[in-house]
Amino acid sequence: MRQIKVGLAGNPNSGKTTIFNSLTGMNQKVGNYAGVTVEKKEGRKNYKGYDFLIYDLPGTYSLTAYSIDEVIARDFILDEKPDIIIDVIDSTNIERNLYLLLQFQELNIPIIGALNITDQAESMGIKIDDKQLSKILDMPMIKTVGAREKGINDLLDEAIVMFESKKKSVKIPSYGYEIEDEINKITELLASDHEFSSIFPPRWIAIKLLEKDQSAYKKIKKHADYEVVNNTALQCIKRIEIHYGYDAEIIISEQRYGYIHGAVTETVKYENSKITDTEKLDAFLLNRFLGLPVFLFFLWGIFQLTFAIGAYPQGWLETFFGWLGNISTQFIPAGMLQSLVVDGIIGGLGGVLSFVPLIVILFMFISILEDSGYMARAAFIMDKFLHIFGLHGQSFLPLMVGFGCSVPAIMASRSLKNPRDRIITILVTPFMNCGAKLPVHILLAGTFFASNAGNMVLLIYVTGVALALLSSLLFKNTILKGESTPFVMELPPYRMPTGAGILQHISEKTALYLKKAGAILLPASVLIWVVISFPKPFEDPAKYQKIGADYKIVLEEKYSTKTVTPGNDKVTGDVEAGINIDEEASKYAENLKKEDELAYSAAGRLGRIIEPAIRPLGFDWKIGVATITGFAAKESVVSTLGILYKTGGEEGEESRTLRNALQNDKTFNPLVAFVLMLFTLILAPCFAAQAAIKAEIGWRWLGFYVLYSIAVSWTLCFAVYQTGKFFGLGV
Amino acid sequence: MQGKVKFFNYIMIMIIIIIIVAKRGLMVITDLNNGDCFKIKYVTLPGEIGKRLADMGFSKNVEGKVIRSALFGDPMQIKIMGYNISIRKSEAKGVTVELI
Repeated sequence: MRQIKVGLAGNPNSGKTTIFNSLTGMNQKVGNYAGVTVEKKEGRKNYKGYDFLIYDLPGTYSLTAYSIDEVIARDFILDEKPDIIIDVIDSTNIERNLYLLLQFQELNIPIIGALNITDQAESMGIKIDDKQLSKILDMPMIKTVGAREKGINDLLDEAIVMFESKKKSVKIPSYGYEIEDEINKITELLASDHEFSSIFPPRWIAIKLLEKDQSAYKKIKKHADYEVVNNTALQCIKRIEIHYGYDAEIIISEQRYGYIHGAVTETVKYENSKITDTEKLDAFLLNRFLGLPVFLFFLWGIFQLTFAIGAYPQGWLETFFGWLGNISTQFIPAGMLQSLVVDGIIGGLGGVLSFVPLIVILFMFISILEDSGYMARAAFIMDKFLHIFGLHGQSFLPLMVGFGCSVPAIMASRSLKNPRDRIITILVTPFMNCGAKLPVHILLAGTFFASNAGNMVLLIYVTGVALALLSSLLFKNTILKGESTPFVMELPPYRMPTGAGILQHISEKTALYLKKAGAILLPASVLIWVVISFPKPFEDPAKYQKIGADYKIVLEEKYSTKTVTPGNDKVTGDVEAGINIDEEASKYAENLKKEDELAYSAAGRLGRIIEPAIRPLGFDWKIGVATITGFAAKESVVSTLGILYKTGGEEGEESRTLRNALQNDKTFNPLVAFVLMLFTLILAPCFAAQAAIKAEIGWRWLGFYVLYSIAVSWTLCFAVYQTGKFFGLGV
Repeated sequence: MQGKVKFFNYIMIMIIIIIIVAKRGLMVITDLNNGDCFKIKYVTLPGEIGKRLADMGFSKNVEGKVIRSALFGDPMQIKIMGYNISIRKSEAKGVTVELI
């Protein structure tokens, strides 16, 4: 079977990914290009006896050295030497799309143009003479409608023809007499080194040198006559700039567009420019005064729907894990193993995995927004506001996703091309109140603020957002100082997202989330379990039996008064109260035992060690333990509090018992509760999010972030607690 | 001597008038209002940002239209080469155009 290596390239929003999915279906593999956080997608297609190996290159507008995506796209061609490039062209704006195409042609590689989205182009009155265009550019042009899988096989057929005939474009775009002259000066020099010329197409290098492409200047260092080539190039640039009067880089771009304009004038006709649907929608969605409210409404709607719909599968999963826990308790003999499996693994993992339905639904909404083209509008609306704080219009997406879960939010930051913008966005995203922190807030607010609970939780949300924005401002002006990235962003026409496309997005992102979160949080749950279970104190059963017996006596005294009912039946107080004294006594002893074990364990000791540091925040060692476990996974804060306050740890945030226990504890009061809510919000996110941060921006930034979050949480909580205490609020 | 000075002054005035006439009608995109059509003369932004704009189609003689701006006037939506693009005012300032 002959193998044909194909690179799929094109502008963002050209429908390239839809075509990739049509070609490869389920036969896809997603990874990363070595050393960078750019997605590498490859797939296979068996067609007419040929094995097509298809690579979905990053969507780019050009092939400069300024962006990692562009460098990857061009290096792919230089290094991997694919047999064919299929350039997916958005027919609704053909001139800009041809700009990339010309650069691929200059790389001297067989190329096929896919004139995609022809359906929308035709409805916009754009008529393209593909035969004529094909002749002018000396390469095959095939009309396709990726969303409806039209023309896909034609592409493959053409690829086979090209592969077998080994044909390449002969005609090359001209840059005008003066510049062609300079290009030739350089290509003649480059030709002297045959080895170099066989790896790097001379004309392409020459043009890139004139474009002041830094990567090209590095590449020519491998040339035998490096010095001469380098100096000649610089002289050519000088001559061009004197002749035209401005930057050589820009002049080259202009010449390209001049050539394209000539080709397009001959082959593309624009008929009756009626107002497009996109323009009608934008008049409303991007309206100066309506735009922002509409956007906020969409955001609110998405969150409401996500939580509303997601509650069902979330409930089912919780029930499932509860059932799993029960089965395990029955089948595994009581002891360390049972505790590990039930409390550690099932308990920890269950809490995390029950979030997955919410994540999936959120991903679905986001994919719809992205594929339809509305996301760009949202970035347009939010840019000014975010820019004040040093963020980017496109930062709003990670921040928004961060309200659900930081892990996909951090992954979503890849849409930010500039490294500095991405780092800042990643560093502030965890301040968004993620779903895992919510149970902690609900528990504490519900217990201590009764009717005001909702407002206090809202206050926490607002604080999170404020901290994110202010931190961003701080970073932008100190450690991450630098030029703003240009906010140059295409506003693509609105398009109907395809069901297949959305499904593909969701499954990809969910798989990644499960891999990241699952891989981290399973060991983390086990770790938490280990840290709160060991070391175990020497168990003296007699001690606890005595405690149980003593408590039984107390209970009996309390409920001993016998009541007499009208029917003259004597009922004891405990029956009336619905309490079984023996059960209560043994539960009490059991809980006390658990608390002592916790105090003896590594987590407990750690809690005692940090107690002096957290006393100024109003915390005692028990709260310290809860925050330590929270460092690994926010979900465990509630269960840890449960263990600490003698309710056994199986109850959730709605538990009456736990709430009562907290209210009766002398350390806790509304102020401390609020400070704990703040602390949970700010302190570094769970291990999974930390792993995501490390994967995106490295250990050093992760370390910085953890220290920063500890500093901010301690300082703010200290300030709030001491101020509250001073004014006697809530104590 | 006096004659020479007079002549020199006339030449200077002529040159100034020629410059004014030549520059007449040149503005940057941020000077335009919604709905204005323009023709690009040149881009005066340095390095990466200038190149990026040029790559996206902000090229000499390209025609375009200002569609709208966001709530606080920033960013602006421009239509060129048949597609819509969003750029910040700070970038739009660097694109010199002629009103058409």
